[in-house]
Amino acid sequence: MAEPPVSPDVLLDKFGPHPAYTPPGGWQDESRHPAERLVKTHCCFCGQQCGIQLKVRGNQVIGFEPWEEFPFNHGMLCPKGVKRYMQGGHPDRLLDPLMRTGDGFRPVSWDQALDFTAKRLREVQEKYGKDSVAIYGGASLISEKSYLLGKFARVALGTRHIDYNGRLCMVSAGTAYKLAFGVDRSPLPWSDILKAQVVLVAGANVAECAPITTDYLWRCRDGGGKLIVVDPRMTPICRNADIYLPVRPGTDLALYMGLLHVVLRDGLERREFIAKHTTGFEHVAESVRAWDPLTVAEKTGVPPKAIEHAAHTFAKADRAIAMHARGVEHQSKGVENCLSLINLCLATGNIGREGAGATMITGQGNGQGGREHGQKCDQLPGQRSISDPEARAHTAKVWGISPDEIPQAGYSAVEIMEAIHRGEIKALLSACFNPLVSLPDAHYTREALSKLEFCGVVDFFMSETAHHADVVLAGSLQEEEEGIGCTAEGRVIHIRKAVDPPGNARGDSWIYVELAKRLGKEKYFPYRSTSEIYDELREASRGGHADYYGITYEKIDKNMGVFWPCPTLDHPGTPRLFADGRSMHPDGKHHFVVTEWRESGDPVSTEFPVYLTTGRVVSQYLSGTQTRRIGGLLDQYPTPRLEIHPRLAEHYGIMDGDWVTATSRRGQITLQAMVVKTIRPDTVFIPYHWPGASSANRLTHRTLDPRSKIPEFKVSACQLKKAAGPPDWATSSPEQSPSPRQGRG
Amino acid sequence: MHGYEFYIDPSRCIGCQSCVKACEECETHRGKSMINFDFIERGSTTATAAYVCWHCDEPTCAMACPADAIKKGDDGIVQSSLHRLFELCAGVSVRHSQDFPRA
Repeated sequence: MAEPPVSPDVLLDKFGPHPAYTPPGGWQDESRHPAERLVKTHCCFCGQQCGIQLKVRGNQVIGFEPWEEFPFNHGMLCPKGVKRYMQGGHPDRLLDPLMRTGDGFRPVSWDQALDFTAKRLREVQEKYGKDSVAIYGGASLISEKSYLLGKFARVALGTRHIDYNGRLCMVSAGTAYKLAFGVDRSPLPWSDILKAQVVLVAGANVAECAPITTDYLWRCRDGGGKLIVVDPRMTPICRNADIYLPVRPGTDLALYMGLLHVVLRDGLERREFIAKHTTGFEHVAESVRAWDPLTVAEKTGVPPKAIEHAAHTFAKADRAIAMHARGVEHQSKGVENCLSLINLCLATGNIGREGAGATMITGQGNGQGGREHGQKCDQLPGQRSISDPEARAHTAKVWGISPDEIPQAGYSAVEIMEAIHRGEIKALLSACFNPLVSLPDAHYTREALSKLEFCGVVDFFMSETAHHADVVLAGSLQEEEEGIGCTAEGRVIHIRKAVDPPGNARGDSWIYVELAKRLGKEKYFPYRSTSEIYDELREASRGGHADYYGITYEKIDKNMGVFWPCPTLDHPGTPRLFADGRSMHPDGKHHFVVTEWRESGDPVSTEFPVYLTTGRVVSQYLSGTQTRRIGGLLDQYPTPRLEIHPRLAEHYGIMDGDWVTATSRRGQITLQAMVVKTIRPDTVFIPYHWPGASSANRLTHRTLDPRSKIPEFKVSACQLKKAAGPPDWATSSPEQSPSPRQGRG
Repeated sequence: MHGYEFYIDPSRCIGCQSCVKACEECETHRGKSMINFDFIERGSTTATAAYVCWHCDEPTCAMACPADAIKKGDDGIVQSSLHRLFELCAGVSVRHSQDFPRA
């Protein structure tokens, strides 16, 4: 059974996270032994995927240099990018495959680990059926690995159930854009932001979660552009906002329907554009009729005049952009939230033109590329639908199997964990996904993991989820395999291999090929390199919306990236979608889609009266498996804190730095309060990057958006109580010592 | 000292501390950041104060800053964002005191 073999403390002591403060060889080593080469590649820590040069000596990444020629970020980097190189040579790095023993984990040979993994997966499938095994993938994987993982699940295992941690990130936006435009990609390149007269930033903490985009917003303002920010927190970009709308958590949909209401009420819509390029306008116009500014103000907490002012500012501009991120997407109506922003853009004629449009800010490293080629439960390569007979036939031909052999759509990420909990799924192979930290309702996740009959993990560090594993397969960092990614803009980029995996760690692609071999499917996985996998991916994507056929590694290098779709080798790529006025729907029209209001899945009540919203801080990435191991990043924000407005704090008798217990309908955690006026007085915020007793996801709930299946991380209900003192985790953990830099000045 | 001017535009700074981390990577003092960074009064605002060392010919902090808040000029011209009046629809001026109005 998949309980951790020993207590988490013992495993943490052995495998970390131990924060590393110095590069391999020490700080001064580089002056004595300078880098032998600079490798132009990309940061692994968010969907912006900034260009960076890694300094390499021997088989070790020892530092970085800005890559000023790369057109997206011109050498700029956030603190995660600056410190990303510190993963190379990290003392916690897994250097051998590990198998569980009675008192922990022991290193074994690859043959032992792979034979055992294949045997257990086969045994579980023979006993309970093909679909009793599930695969979890990661959006941070290079596209070759994510493509391979999708094929591995469907061809080598024959299971329906493969999904990925992008289910916690981009699926609401993806679903909405497919409904409206027929394709899941930002319709515009980031250079368009500079040309906009108005940018509406909706539920996006750009400064901390997509820092390089800040420079685009500031340059837009330098040129006279106006900035509208909608957020329950005054995030750093709010200081320069022209209009700030402090929306109540979970009420964004009402706000955007309200903006459209004002636009239509005051005759600011672009009738000619609507008539020529769209369908469904009348239904949407009818659906927003009831959402007048007073009604919206009551629901959202945003004053009616502000709603009108924002609507007028957006609609009167010739070129306006609405950009959004997890703030609107992490809701049980995440798809509707995105659609309401798209409806606003369509009604005002803002799409397919320079400096105009709706766009999403993809969050994870390769969050765009990682979702296009087959590790989503309902998609085949090229963004094809797994239920489409033509798509199945095309993919089956590339894979050399019959279309009938491709399983139908499986469960999404949270649904997989629920199927494990109820005993339907018995075995899990999880690659670079740390569900124990990142899925909602962490107590439930822990219970589920403990029920598995087999748990295998592929990762480069021992994640908290890997504590539950029978086998941990020591895989590769981003810079240890050659491949491609796709940025938030839709720009396909080249991830260059800088070094080999250290010790006995192996490239992830080698691991899946070896497992496929042991499952008797060798002939379908004949690859000798990731470039051979990429060539197959190009074929598999050919003719799909995300068509990569015309994109080669060499072409990417020559052009500093190529935007898909790029159907032929002489095609220049497509930086801006719909420039010809046509969407990717068969009818060529942009579709207005009606949105309907509904309440959050975890409503505030007398017992749980405070809104809880969760998110990221600038110095950490996702579940922290990588960034909690980098000392400089950890010190910047060492432990999660609970942001609370002084008036709410006063109500509970809480002072800055006091310990506060937050309790939801699912669990409780005790954290230090950070009393700040930069958050709504009815809302608290907790960042989610930490495990165990300080994990924000012990409080969050499993309500999903019915279409995108994204969890509602941004809206939970909680109660607060001042705690008598620090909890156990804070007095025993080496991570708890506060840094001088978290001081409040 | 022409060519050694550094300019910091506090209105662009987002408090990410990329400069602090990047400074630590500079060849001449690798391992020690020369930048003094703090939030001015985090309880009230996300505004920051970053003091750079003013020494480097090719300052990594300025190259890395994702908000382009640190500039080293050859010509002494500060490329700052437009100054503009802040218009806060919640009814208070965030620039002067970031807070939400009482209901």
